[in-house]
Amino acid sequence: MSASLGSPRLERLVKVLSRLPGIGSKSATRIALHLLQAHATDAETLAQAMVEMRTHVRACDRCGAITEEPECVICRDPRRNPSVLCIVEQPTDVFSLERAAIFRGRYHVLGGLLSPLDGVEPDDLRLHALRHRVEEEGVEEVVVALSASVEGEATSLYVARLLEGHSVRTSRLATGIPVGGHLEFVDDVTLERAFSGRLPLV
Amino acid sequence: MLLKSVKLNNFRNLDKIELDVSPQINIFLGRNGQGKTNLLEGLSYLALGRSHRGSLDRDIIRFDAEIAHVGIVGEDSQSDPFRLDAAVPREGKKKLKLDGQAVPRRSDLVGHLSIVHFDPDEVHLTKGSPDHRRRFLDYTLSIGSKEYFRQLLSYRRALAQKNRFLKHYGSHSSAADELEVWDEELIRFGSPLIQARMEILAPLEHAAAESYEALAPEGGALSLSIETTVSQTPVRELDEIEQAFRKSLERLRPKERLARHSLVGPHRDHLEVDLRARPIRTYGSQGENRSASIALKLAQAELIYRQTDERPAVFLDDIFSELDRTRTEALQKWLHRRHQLFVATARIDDVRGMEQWSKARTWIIRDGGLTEVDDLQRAQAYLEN
Repeated sequence: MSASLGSPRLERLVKVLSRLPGIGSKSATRIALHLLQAHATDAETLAQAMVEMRTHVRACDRCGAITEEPECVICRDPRRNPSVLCIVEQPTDVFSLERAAIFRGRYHVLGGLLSPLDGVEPDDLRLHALRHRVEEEGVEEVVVALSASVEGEATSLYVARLLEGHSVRTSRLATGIPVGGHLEFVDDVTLERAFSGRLPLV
Repeated sequence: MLLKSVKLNNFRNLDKIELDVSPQINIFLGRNGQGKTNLLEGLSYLALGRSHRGSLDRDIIRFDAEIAHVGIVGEDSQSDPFRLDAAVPREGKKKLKLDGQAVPRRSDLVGHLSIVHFDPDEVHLTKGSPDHRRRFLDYTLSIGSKEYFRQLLSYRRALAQKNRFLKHYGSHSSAADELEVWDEELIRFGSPLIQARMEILAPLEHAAAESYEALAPEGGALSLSIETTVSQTPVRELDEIEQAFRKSLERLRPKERLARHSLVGPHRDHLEVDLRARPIRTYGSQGENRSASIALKLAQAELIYRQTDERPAVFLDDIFSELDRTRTEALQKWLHRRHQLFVATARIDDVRGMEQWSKARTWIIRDGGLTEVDDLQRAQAYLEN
């Protein structure tokens, strides 16, 4: 596809870079040429940072979030409430919720959503670990915070059924009108959900 | 609704096309294989963000191109303009825009470009496969309701997940929980579909019977019914439908596991068309089936109008060879009074007279390129050599 750059090694770098998300062959070429023309240490620093990241960053043994220790900072934090567990799809969802600083319990990262079309089955998700935690950690409430897609809803329901018979409350995030949003721009499905999930005013 | 102009780039075999169209009647003449149907497909692509013929997106991209573009400008009955755009790449996700703003879902396009197609397949609507009549219902409801379309897309997604699950794990008994979860998704998205279809049935039947009477006076009464796999007895309310759906799924679960695909749900429901209280597809003549199919399409246009307060544009693709001269003229005149028309044909005789109607515009289409002509004489010369 890409034109000859006069160097097989440079072309290889372009090819590798263009496999990254959000980077097409043009951006890949620009990045590669930048690394060629910039100070030699720039490329070395970048390469080293990537290797070190891969060596040291791992999933938290307990919740599956990103950490460099066996357990992540949230799981180790004694001020976090261990009786409430928030279920999310990806480690990045933990960042979003932490940024908003609204949740003081702990997390559990599933690592995906049920999707036979993509070959993702219950055993591919961290569900055994979830059940284990619910049984061992004195969890009283599980908040399911998965996306409102077909797969997200199916997975939420699966989690709820999995935990039936355990003495925990399960809930899911509300869907509805974005804060500061105008009614006229909200689609019908969202509006209907917002309506059925309405709250008392006083 | 009026379609005002269209831009197509790298769409199938067509040249780069920028076309202002007539608010009343547009005629495209060309021999077979020159691009007539492709042009109509391009004009209607943005109604639901996909080919109305069900073609895959990668197939609409010109063979030597990486990305196809479709752009439409139109206006609604309040004369408010709208603009829809799609960029369809060979690799990656297509991008859709409404009035210049990117929108994430195909359903966000619904409610603007409204089109009813008459093509040779549709002329065999009543005789063809049940699948065809189901698509007819879904299209009528989707063009009229963003919500229906959204639920239909979610339903199809959940169904695809369930079918894949059954195919791979259907015989594993330990996988029971997961199947139930997918079934709950089918109930959630499928029940409103069944309800909406039941609700549209009576007005659709009324409009179709009226049109049939006009097309075939004293031809007998046309009636419609929906046979749902979800229930033996009629169901109307949403909670009734949900309960019946859940019961049928539970009852058929062992069978579905054996068959390794889904057996119950709105994707298996039938729209039945009866003439004089008997199924027209088995007991009706060719002529009766043709008239009934056209009556259904006219009813579709009418129901879309009632749901949206917008008259859809009507696309007539090579259908007149199926009809006699008197019916052709009657149909053309009837449609012309109500709808913006787009007519594609290889036979000049099919449109003779129409080019004289006010604001008619005529193009020759050859090798994917368009040339406007001001009279049919010149068109004749083009077509013949």
